[in-house]
Amino acid sequence: PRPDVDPPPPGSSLLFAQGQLITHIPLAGSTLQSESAHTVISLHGSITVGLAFDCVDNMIYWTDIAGKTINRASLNGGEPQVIINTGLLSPEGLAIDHLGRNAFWTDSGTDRIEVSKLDGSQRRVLFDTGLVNPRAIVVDAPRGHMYWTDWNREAPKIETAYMDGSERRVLVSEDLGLPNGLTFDPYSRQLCWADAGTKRLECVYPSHGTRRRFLEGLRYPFSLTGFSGHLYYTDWRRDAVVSATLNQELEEHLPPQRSHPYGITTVFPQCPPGNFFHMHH
Amino acid sequence: NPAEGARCQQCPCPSGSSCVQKPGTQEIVCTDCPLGLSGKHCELCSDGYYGDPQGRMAGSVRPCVACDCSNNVDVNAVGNCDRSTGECLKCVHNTAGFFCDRCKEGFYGNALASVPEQKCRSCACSAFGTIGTGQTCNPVTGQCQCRPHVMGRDCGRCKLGHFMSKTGTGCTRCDCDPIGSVA
Repeated sequence: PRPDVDPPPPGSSLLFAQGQLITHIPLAGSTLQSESAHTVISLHGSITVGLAFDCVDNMIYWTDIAGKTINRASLNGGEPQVIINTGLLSPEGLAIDHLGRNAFWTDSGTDRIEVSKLDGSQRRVLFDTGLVNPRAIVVDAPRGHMYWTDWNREAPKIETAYMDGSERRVLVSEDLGLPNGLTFDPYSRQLCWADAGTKRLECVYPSHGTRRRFLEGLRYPFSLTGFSGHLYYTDWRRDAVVSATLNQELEEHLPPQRSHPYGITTVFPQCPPGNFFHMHH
Repeated sequence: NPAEGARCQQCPCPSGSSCVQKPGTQEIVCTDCPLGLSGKHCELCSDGYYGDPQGRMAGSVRPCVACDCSNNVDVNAVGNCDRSTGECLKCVHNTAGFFCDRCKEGFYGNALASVPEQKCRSCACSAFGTIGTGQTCNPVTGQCQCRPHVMGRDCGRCKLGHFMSKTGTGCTRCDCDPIGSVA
């Protein structure tokens, strides 16, 4: 299917993490509304890395590598709440399954991928082998798939499995460098990643594997999000959020705070289409 | 915030950088801390830096400076060092120590060598000739702790006139006729 480039649902916006700040950038269509970007959460002393959004409860979820915790708070303010605060060393990737009400995260200190309910209960390890530098993780909730990156310099890879941890396999292992960012576009059903080694954004259709380059010549991409033909990534050399479409960089949001931006995620006004029609196991 | 008729106050941020009052709270948050600084009032160092920019912890002001981990941390990693003490937390190339400046347990060599492969090599002590089961060796020379009459860095060879007994108790003298035997 040709990648449909219809604009994102009206009212979509972005959230990105930078040290102790989580900043919200509204979108007009797919255009960054930089002048109305504002800090939604300021977390004393935390280094926020992984960021995810639950479209059902309008809750922001994030990992803090300084406090070694996973936390959540409502998008419209309210006190943050810790959901996981044990057994974490370097929690960097986070994904929310809004249908199954589960949170998935990667930890490059324990080299594990774990899952728990959204309140942190029923926690279990999904994978604790074959991981060196796991980082980004995303889910395709309706189809029950999860995807993650491992920027192991000896053997970088992007893997997939069902959300219950079954049928794990390597999806991409060729021509990868430092796959730091990953996003699954529920509209075009493409999986895209940001690679600080090859300096590229690339996409693949998981169902049939055709892969293509989305943008080249990036400086130092870290995290990635996107939908319907537009991708937004954080860059460590530019300390900025950059927007792009196929083969073309569009805009840049330069936050006032001069520090590395980390995780970035999309806030949809309503949950993307699709509910359980393929429940595995 | 002039809108509420209160008089304007200077932002509690360094070099007069700007700030914002969080809606519905009295909390003032600095929004553009200088490079290397973060925190509500720019009182913390950003990831990759360490110090105590406002002397809040130990009293004396220590400006934020980039962490120094002897080039033995990965630039693609996050959280490489402790933001106040500067202790390196993610040493690579088999190094360890506060500044990743020595080889970790079970390895030997020069953690400051320029070529990663030449930094720290595994002790790889020979099981038969080494005392104990540990894989520790001299951190610089790599010399393992050899059993009696054993020699070699990894205690893998017997001294002249001895043979390696399979019982793992080191080397024992050959009690053979000195004329007829081959060393």
